Amino acid sequence: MVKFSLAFSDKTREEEAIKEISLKTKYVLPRKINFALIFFTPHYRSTLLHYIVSITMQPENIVQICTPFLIYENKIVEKGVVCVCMELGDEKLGVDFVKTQQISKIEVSLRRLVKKLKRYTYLFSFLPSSIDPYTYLHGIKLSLGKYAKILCGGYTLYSESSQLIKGEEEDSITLIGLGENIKVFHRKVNGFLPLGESFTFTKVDEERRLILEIDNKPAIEIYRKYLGDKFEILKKNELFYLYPLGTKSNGNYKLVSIKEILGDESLFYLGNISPGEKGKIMVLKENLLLENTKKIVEEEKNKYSPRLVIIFDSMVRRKILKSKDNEEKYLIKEILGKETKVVGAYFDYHIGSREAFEELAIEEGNMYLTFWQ
Amino acid sequence: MIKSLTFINLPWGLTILLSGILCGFLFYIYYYLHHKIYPLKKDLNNLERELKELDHQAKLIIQSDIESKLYREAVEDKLKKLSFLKNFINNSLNILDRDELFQQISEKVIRDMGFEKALIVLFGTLEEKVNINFSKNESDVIKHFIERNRENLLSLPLVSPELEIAKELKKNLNFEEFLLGPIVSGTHIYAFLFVSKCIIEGGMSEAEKEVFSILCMYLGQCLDNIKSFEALYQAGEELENKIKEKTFELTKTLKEIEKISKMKSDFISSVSHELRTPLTSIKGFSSLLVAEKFGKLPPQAKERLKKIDDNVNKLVDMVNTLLDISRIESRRIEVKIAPYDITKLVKDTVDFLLPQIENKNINLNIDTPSSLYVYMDKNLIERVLINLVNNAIKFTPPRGEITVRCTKSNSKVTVSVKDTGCGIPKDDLEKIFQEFYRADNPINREVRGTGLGLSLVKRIIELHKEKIWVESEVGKGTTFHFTLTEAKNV
Repeated sequence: MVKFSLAFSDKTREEEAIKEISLKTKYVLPRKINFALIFFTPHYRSTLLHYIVSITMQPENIVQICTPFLIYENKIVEKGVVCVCMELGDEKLGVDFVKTQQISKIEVSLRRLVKKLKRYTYLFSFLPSSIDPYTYLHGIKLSLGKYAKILCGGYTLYSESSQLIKGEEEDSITLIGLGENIKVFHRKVNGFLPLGESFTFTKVDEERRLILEIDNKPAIEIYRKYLGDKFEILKKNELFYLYPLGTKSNGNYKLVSIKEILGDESLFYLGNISPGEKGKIMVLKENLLLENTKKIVEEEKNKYSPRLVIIFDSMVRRKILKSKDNEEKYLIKEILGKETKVVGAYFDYHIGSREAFEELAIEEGNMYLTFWQ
Repeated sequence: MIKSLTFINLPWGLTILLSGILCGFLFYIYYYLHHKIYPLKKDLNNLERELKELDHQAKLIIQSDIESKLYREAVEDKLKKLSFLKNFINNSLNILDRDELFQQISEKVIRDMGFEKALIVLFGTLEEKVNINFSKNESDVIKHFIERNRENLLSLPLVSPELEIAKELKKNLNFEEFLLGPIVSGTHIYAFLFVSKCIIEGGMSEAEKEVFSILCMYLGQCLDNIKSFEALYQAGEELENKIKEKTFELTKTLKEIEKISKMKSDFISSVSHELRTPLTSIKGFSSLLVAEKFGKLPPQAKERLKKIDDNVNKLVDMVNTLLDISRIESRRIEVKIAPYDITKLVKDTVDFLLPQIENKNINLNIDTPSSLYVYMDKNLIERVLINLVNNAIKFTPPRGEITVRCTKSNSKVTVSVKDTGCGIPKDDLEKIFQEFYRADNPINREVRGTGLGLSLVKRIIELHKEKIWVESEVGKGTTFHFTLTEAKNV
């Protein structure tokens, strides 16, 4: 059985922060640490953190993720370091790093990692801003199939502060593979509601990720139609993230975020669309979202009694929810109770599926909860 | 159809019948379809209408959603900026130096409030007090604008790019969003604050304009506080300097007085010493002569010699008193403070002076408890009592009254000597303890004295760290009071 420890520090100096974390961790895991997952805010120097962690806690594997905000238990932290350490018994866990220049080798790396684990139950991956998520998704599909059990958190060039670190090596893709004895379940939480009439993506340039026409009209017209005189405000303030588009698949809507409006009134997007697909405009309803979160967490708690929950949250979601985001994290912890540790980070986008046997897609604006039994 | 039926050679009657049946069937189908399809079509139309309505509702939902989100955004932005402003105010509230105040306006503070650049220029000299991210050229353009529009700016609380006056500035700076506001201290403009932000931010929000105005007002308020503090500080400094000056003068005078006093004491002491030796000799011989030890003297010579002897006695007393005062002043006197019964001392003193009291037919009252122990040097306090009772005898007319009283209050014992003499005028009351001072009254004119007795009395009481004071009313009498500390558990 995997033993977990969770420790947090908001001390300013790296040495002091890690010292505090190390003391707390050693209390729970005095023998050895096989894996340390560290989320930290940009206030800390990654290389120094890595060095101190490796000499004080001596974990076999370290994965460090710099994130704009942290989730620690029931709160969102703007400055701090949080460390999840694991002591494995018969369980297998593999970690691999692929430099961004060697993205072509991602397929090989994924295969190698899965082979090493013999049978994998789940894969986690963290992507730096220099990685094109579509290339990466293609690599996953080629190596593991389009229904692969993987969850990736990534940062885009629009991100203000995030980077990905492995020791001194920056700009690497991090892969964490969990062997069959480690039981992890994941759920996607979204609060976006489809609204209005369906429309058809009539002209889409998938390669350049442009929606050129919707219902045979310039793509931008869909926003003009729904936003009326507020359209200009939205355009001026680049607030399209508030109203992503949704494509229907297996009765559910997958989010397609609009990142930019180009001069020819086409929309530069993040997500997955094929020409001819039906879509709707989506609106995030906070109350619905909180209800949804509550329902999912309650279900999973009763089903699996998780001991650890790692949250892969979304920056877009935080931008929209603002103070409600804090409320949501408080609610999650309250439902899970004292015995379940909660930790998490924020990402610009995710690659994952709603649940098993659903095709992997790139989305932003969703929150993924991973429940560790 | 009839033609076609005819064509297959059916009899006319049958043809007509079949045609009728066929028409009826077709009519039935038409009727059936019409009645079945029409409601469906109607339903379809209704559905389409409802869909349109739903789409319309969706538009309304989205528009109200964005309105509420923008409103919430604006409120949160305002709160956030106000919170930053509050922090800035907290950090700078107690600053009482202009330069230090301006140093507080850092790049972080400006960024927190939503701006990228800031400049503070003094209104009078156009000196830059704060420059955050403005190039020399840009700050020169702003200063030039202030210089050229001095008069117009006096009446404008806020200059934004929309104003006519700011158009030239906007053009010269190539800035889309900026604000210029006066920092008013008292009734005058002390400086101007200029802030700007980058183009992509989407314009100056209402929150930023409000925060900017508050910041200008707050800085003005701070400058007012600094001004008041400086005035107060300056006044304090002046006062302190004056006090120092006066203290110095007083110290100097005091030192001089002390020096003179010491010289005086030394002089009195040495003169008294020098006088005492020949006086002792004179006193000895005059006493022998008066006692006719060297032979009988003619009555006239004896009378003269008696006067000489009396005056020598007075001179000896005076020299002794002067020597005592001098000893006390120079702390050369040995004080032996011990518990002693003051009532006994009073009685002994009065007994010693009883002949003089009886001689003047004075009524004497002694009001003391049976026994009251106090801390004192018995010999010195005896001299005090002798002096005070003697004075009372001297100034009390025959058949007058003298009262000696001892009262106890808390741990203090007050000894009072009251007479029914001529009293001391108010103006003289303060001076009677000075050496050689003699109040102007008929008795003093008649009775000769040295003016040293009360001075010695005061010094002895002060040597005991006690108090002495006098109450007097001209024509009614005088009361001297002095305190001593009670000796408990004796």
